[in-house]
Amino acid sequence: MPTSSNTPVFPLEGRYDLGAFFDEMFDAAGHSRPHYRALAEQLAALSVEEFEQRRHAVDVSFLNQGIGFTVYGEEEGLERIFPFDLIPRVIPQDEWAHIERGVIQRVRALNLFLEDVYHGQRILRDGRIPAELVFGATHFRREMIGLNPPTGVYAHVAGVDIVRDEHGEYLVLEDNLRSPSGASYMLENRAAMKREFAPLFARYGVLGIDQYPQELLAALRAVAPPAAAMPTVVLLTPGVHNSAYFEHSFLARHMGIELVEGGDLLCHDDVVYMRTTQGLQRVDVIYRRVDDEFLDPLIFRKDSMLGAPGLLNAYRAGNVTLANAPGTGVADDKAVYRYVPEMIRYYLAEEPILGNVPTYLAVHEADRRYILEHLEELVVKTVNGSGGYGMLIGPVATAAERDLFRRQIEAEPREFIAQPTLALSRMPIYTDELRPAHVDLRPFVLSSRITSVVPGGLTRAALREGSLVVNSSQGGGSKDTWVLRS
Amino acid sequence: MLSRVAESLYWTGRCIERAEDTSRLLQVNFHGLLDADLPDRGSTWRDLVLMIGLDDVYREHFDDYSAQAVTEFMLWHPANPDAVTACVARARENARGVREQISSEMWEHLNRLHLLVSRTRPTAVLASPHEFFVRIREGSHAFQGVMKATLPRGEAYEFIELGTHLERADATARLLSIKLPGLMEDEPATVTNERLSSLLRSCGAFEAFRKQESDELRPAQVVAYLLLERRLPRAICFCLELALAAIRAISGPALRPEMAIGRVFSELAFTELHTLDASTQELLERLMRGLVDAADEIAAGYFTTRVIPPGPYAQQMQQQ
Amino acid sequence: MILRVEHTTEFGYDAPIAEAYTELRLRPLEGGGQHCSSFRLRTEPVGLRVREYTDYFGNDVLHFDVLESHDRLSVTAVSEVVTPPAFLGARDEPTPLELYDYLEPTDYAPFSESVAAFAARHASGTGGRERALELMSAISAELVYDPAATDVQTRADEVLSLGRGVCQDFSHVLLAACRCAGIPARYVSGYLYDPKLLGDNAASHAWVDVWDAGKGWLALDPTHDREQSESYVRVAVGRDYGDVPPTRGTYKGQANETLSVRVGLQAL
Repeated sequence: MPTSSNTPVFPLEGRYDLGAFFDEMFDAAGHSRPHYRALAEQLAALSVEEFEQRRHAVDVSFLNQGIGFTVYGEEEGLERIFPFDLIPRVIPQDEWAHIERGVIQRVRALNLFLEDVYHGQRILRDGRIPAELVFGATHFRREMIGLNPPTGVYAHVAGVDIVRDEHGEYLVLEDNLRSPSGASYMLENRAAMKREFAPLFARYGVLGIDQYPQELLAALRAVAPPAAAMPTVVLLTPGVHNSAYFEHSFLARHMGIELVEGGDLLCHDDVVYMRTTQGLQRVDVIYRRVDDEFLDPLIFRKDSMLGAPGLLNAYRAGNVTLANAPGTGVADDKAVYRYVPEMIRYYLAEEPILGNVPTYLAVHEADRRYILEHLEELVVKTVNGSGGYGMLIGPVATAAERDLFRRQIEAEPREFIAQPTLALSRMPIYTDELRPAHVDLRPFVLSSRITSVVPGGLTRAALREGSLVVNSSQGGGSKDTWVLRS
Repeated sequence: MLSRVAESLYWTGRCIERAEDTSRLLQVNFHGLLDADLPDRGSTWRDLVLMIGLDDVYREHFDDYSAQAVTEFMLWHPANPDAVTACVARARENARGVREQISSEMWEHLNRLHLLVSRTRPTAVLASPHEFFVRIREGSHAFQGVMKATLPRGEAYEFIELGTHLERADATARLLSIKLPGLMEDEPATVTNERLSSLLRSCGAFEAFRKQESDELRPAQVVAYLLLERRLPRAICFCLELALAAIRAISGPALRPEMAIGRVFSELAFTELHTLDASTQELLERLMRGLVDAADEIAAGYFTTRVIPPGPYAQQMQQQ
Repeated sequence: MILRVEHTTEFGYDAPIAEAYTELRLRPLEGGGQHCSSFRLRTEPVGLRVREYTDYFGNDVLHFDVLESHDRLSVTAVSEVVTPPAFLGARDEPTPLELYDYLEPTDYAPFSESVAAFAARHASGTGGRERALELMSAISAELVYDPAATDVQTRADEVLSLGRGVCQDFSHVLLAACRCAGIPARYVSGYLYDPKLLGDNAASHAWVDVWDAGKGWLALDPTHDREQSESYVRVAVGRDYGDVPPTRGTYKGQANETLSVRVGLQAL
């Protein structure tokens, strides 16, 4: 509904429906929560026109810098800007401390799980997780059995997706241990907000995140093979046609490391080199954003052009470190997700700080019956999907879509899980007017000699009205995340 | 610098230059022939196709050598891998893979040029091509200018320079080689004049030449100018000197590329050209072969690294 | 028995190739009563750095790379092996992962209708061992040994419909049928000594180990309808042929590869 140009963006009276959801910004009575008050005041002082101007400035800047991604399934893999919403998500320090402790605990347990399943498999022998679930996981890489990654860490970079239920409790929705992306958007969003809302930063006391590339680089250097005195770190990308290429290029630039493609690498006698104009230069650590299957045509998929033959044998020989290690996908399999609280208890003898979302595994008969009987209420996902593809949202799907999933679930139950439709928390976004959108949070956890989490992470919002899907490729957008100093 | 990146930058330089040179040729031909008193207009248009060595391919798609047909072929025909639109697209594709190496202004200019070229409708261009040719040249100049203004001098800069100048030398050499027989014929002065003017304009050298030589145009002089002049940006010697400087700046253990360009350059540098005869054509042919050799040595030296197994934990490889 | 094995593989290319990476599974296994007393690898060109690792099945893998341009390469493995009268690895308890893997269908050994029907038809006894023996005999009886009928990619269900094949095929059928019938089974690659074959006319051989929880591992050769004897040399085990090819590699170049293999076994 058009508003006159000097109407303030805030307050909302009558224009913002809290519904039955937990709202990040407003309490049940419609008042701004304490940590959002200053933001609400600032926004109230802006007219729609001024707000639009700032939004436009950010969009233009993102477009010029090419901050985009490729959407599959459309013609020629269109490049799109990743939509950005100017209203930041604010997290008070005590809430963040809770989230931080929770994700650190979780990633520690996951790394211990990975070491265990590729060695003694104690958790399986003790019957705490069904062995077939692990052995039958698509990303359980037998080639990794018995191999010892430096410092015992498998998932050096982890993205843990956090949501909030209707009571405001933080839960883990899923773990991402293969190639979690979004850190570059997180950094660009912050840069944009600093340009447009500089005074507010000073007033708020927001914890900085610009150190992420340096922390990532340090984490990668720390896992180099011991013989490497000054380790050469590279980022392996599938290339310009990959949907996350912007991020690969961004991170490589900000870390000051070479961005390489498979063809740039050459293995010889179990050592990895890159081809340069000055000859072959040895590589010690590869931050690889290429899937396991495509890493090495000698060992994995023969037809892959994205990796280099001999890479895995060089890794096995301890002459190069791969981050994340191959085989981490067994731990972010959505069926295995159900047992992460068990992992925390088994390896750490602790109770999980952050809980799971109830999950039904189609591979278990009782669960499968339940799923098929309640397709209209559940969200069904493939166990190895990402980017929001291959998902059924029961309440909004058509009968035909549900039928398709029913058939697929019956044909390959191992490949599906289901979760109740969550009442995800919401907060205001501004498209042409201010309205609520569901949000989640992806903090990035770095594990190396020490584990660290950059404050905040990427907040993603479902931009389409009423949508629950926050992934960039499916109409999602992002916000800056402000973790307060106190 | 990664070999792949160096190769992409080199080809970005070559492709943009190729697009510019082709546009200039087409433009000169279009305008020169409007009121020219030349015996065989068709053959001049045909020369362009011969120059790029695609006459066979051309004849598969076209029956004659009219202005329209040749322009279409040289500007965007899918069967012509060196068509202007193809060159610009390739330049952009190459640059896209190595965006971190070039400045954002360079990328924006390249992008803009590509948008211009890919969005212009052929009918509009063929109706009035002048505008289009000018904008291609301007796009190329803008790219080079922005590069000089914004790109730090380093390997990225040098590889683009190398590609640009080798391409320019090569294009000029091929043009001279095609036009040489016509210049050695015994024709009335008006005809020779036309041909020489057209040749100079095709190389963007007409005004510069005129400033230097105010007498009538003489064939040997013009050819010598385009071949040997050390101060004209479009003369072959000038280009070779710059290419040599670029190779030396790239440094590193690969000596063969430098030697290959050096050989070509030194032959020309000590040549004097007073008459046009069979030896001139031989010289041009040696020159063109030398440029091909140089391109091969560059590829072998920088883009496809030869391998010598390293000693224990060698950080750097030495090439043969 | 003490056997000497000489296995030569010649790689030829119709145009020069480069950046060639090769893995070899040629070294006879230790264990199950078998002992490899010597092993040497010769390569041509000489001077290649050959490196070694043990894969997760326990197989020895040799690998090397040749980066320079070449159009031929040859490797010769010579080993001396002491073989037991029968496979003595009965008590080697499989890990949970092995038990899982050795019951799963694979590309070479799918659980097609024909395989399931074959298993149902012939495996009628009680106990894994008995049923496995029945399946082995059935395969030996029903399939015709024919080197020309199949190729290295042929699957077990295709073998059943052809009714013909070589030891690799017979073994894939036995694998698939056993697994279908709930008997864990693994593929064995190696050599079979035949005193009637002179010179280097032997070939790689394939057979199958089956696991019975009560009786342990049993090594069965469906091509000859008998258990493994002292004439057998074990080189590698896996889920199917795909896990144990004697040679495997990649290279760069638009060239076709031809392999020529010569195997010779001698009793010492």
